[in-house]
Amino acid sequence: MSAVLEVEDLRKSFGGIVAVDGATFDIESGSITGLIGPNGAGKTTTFNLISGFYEPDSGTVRYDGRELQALMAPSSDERLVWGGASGLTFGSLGGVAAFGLAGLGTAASLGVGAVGTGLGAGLYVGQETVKQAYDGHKNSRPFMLAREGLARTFQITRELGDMTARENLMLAPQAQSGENLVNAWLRRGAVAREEADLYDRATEMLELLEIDHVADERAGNLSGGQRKLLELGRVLMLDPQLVLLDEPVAGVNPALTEKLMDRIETLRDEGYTFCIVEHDMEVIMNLSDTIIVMNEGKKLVQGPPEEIRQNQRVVDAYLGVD
Amino acid sequence: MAVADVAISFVVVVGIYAILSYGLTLKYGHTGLLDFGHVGFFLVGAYISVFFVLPPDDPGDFTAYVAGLADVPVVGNWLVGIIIATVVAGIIGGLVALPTIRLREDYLAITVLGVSVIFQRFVQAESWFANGPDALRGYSPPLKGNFPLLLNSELTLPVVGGTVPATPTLFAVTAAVVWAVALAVLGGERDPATRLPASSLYLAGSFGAAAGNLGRGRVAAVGGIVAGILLGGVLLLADAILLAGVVVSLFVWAVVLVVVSARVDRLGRREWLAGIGLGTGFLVALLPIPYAGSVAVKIAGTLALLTALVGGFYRAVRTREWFAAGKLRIIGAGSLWFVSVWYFVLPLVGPLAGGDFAGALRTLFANLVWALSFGGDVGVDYLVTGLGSLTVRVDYQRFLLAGVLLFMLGAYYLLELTARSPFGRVLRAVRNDEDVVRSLGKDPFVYKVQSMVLGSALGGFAGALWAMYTQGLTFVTFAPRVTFIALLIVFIGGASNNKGTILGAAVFWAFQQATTQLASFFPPALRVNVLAFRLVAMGVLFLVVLYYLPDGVLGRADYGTPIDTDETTAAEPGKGTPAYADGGDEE
Repeated sequence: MSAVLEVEDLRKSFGGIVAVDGATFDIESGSITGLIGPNGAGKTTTFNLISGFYEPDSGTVRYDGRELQALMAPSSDERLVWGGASGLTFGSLGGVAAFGLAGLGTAASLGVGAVGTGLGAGLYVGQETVKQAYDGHKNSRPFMLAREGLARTFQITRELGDMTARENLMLAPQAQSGENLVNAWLRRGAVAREEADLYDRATEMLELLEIDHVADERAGNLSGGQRKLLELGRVLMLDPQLVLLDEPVAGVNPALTEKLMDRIETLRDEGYTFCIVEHDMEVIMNLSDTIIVMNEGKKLVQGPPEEIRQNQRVVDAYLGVD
Repeated sequence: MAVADVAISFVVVVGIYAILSYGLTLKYGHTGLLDFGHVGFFLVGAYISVFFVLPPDDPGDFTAYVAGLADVPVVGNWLVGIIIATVVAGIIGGLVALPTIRLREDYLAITVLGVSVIFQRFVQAESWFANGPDALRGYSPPLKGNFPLLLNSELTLPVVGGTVPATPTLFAVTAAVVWAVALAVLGGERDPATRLPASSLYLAGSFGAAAGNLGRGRVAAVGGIVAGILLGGVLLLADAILLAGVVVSLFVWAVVLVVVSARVDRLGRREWLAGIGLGTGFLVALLPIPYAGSVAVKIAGTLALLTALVGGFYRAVRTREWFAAGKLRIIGAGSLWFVSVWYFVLPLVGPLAGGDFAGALRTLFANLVWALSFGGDVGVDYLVTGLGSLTVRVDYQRFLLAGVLLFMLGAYYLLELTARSPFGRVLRAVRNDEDVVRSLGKDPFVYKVQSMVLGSALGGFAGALWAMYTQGLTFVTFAPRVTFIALLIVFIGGASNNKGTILGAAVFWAFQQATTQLASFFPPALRVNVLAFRLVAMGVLFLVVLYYLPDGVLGRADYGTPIDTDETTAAEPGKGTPAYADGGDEE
């Protein structure tokens, strides 16, 4: 087994509060890792740092052996678009100003425009260089991570309330050709076939989670537990390699919790990796291969569930006296 | 001006504003971007298109502008002008979006509002660009020289060269578009009413039904185009413009009746009667304005009657369950009734009061045959039994109507395609929660910029049409107010409802039209105040819509299904019960 995620000396503070204070741990590929700890221990902040939603103050996270910051860096295409737009804006403003305000001729104005274009593109390149090299700029572009298979759910469910449950699920899969406007307009047949497949996949997922009876209901109308399930289904529709689940079974009834645990174990056996924050000790102890206990932004201890249960420091900090 | 002419210019303005508002429907309704600077792209589109049809600037005269490309072959025409205007507005929309779109709602709104004001001030202050604070004129709309349509005039084809007979060609084009639109609407009717006895209606109805079963609107639209071309052929062989006008007009009326009667079937008899009562009540409430002597009585009488009407409506909503359930439909029926009376009956009152029955009949005929313009010196003369002598022609407004309708429907179709595609799904997701979109591997920024580009391009397109319609541009026209009018239009129909935008534009301009007509009954000194007061009324309308109809008149649209699948599951306003009512999953 190899580590799919390596967290090293991760730190993040908000004002005077140090939320994550040098957390260091690994998550093994193909395992279920539980992340527990008292309120304010930094579990959710750690999740946000790993999934790219927060920029870390310091420390590194490696996913599949690659640095998160490198994974999230803008592609050369994006840089080209920005540089081009900056050049176009400066160039056209310069040209118009030369023609209208300074009263230069057409040729001279075009020349000024060309200089402006160079200036605009240069300014963009310059500020990017300064930002990256001297300012210690950190990227926060979580969508790049989701594309690489690192997906997460939210502690407080974030369903798309105006859209139906099924649409919520159909949104998730990557590289849909219909997300390109040209395909959406001109290659409708191919998009429609793809949509039909997605529709079936979404229906299967809804059936699996036992919320197929509300498939066409607006997600905003669902109950709290149903929203939790929808959130889980959405992230599974991404077909991710590593899934970060933030309290996946809070508010879900016991029978369904049982089913979900079975499902997560099946997926684990298929090669998926899970990292789960959960306060339900029964669930976390039964499900996890490894448990990481966090306290005050640091890793307190890491080990298999039986060991954690016996650990005096964990009992003091979190589990309490039985 | 006959009522038909008023109605036609009304529809043209509605069409242009609907296209303008479609830009905002996409930006705000579908993506959630509050663009308070939408008018800026309207301005860009209008001025850019005009530069392509203006003659080169003459340094000797009093007007000055940066470019006049009318004399340049291939480039110097409206077609190229409109296309370039649309593209440039889209590009500028994208450039404005890149730095601003990361801002949250209100900050974004203020920033783009600033950008639109900069555009307006630029036109005003830089007199070398587009004649500064003075109007920019001196261009004419496309094919304007061929109107009113007369026999024997010839049409020079742009780009290709060569000539064709003007009347049959342009008439055929106009009729084809109008019919295609009318039949497409008919084809969209799932349940065409066949209750109405007249055989023509029955034919129209069954055609609609057949089209509906075959392929919805598309087959019907093709049928309309074919019929239009056939009509042009008939005109080429025989001088029968009156006959052609009658056929086109009556056929469209038949379509309207079929569409309306389908709605009547959905509305119970008592709802329909309540609607007629409401419409009549509204008409009565307005009576003091033309008929009362003093200004005080005009205002007080109308306000009192309107208050009574609203009070009665409110009471009915409170006490009658069926009334409350169908209140919007009842208002719709009432509006329909009111508009019918305004269109057909009110113009007859004047001639009938004077005992001029033939005159009344002529007015009725002119309003029925809306496709032709009656009266005046120029035209083709006919002598019709019972009506006397008629001078008819097809004026430019009718041609413009056909064009604007076509473009509006095109914009609608484009927005439907967009909203129902996976792309539209991402836009809706961005509107709901950007973090979720981010967590699912999609960059919201990319989608927001695309939405801005497309929405701004639609605004620019509308600007070009506006330049065509007004035949003159001043910077005053492009005040921030226009953005808020477009926003109001979007809100009236339902923010993310593509059909609602057309309805919103119609409601807003009906209000403008009505107040303009009513203002003419006041003394000239007061007229300005009455018209200025419209802005206040517009603000109140905004509040009323936001408070009582937060989802708009047509409510939310369900864009979860692709455009080609069955629409029987389309959401009705207010549909849907909370799922957890029977879920049992809670706790």
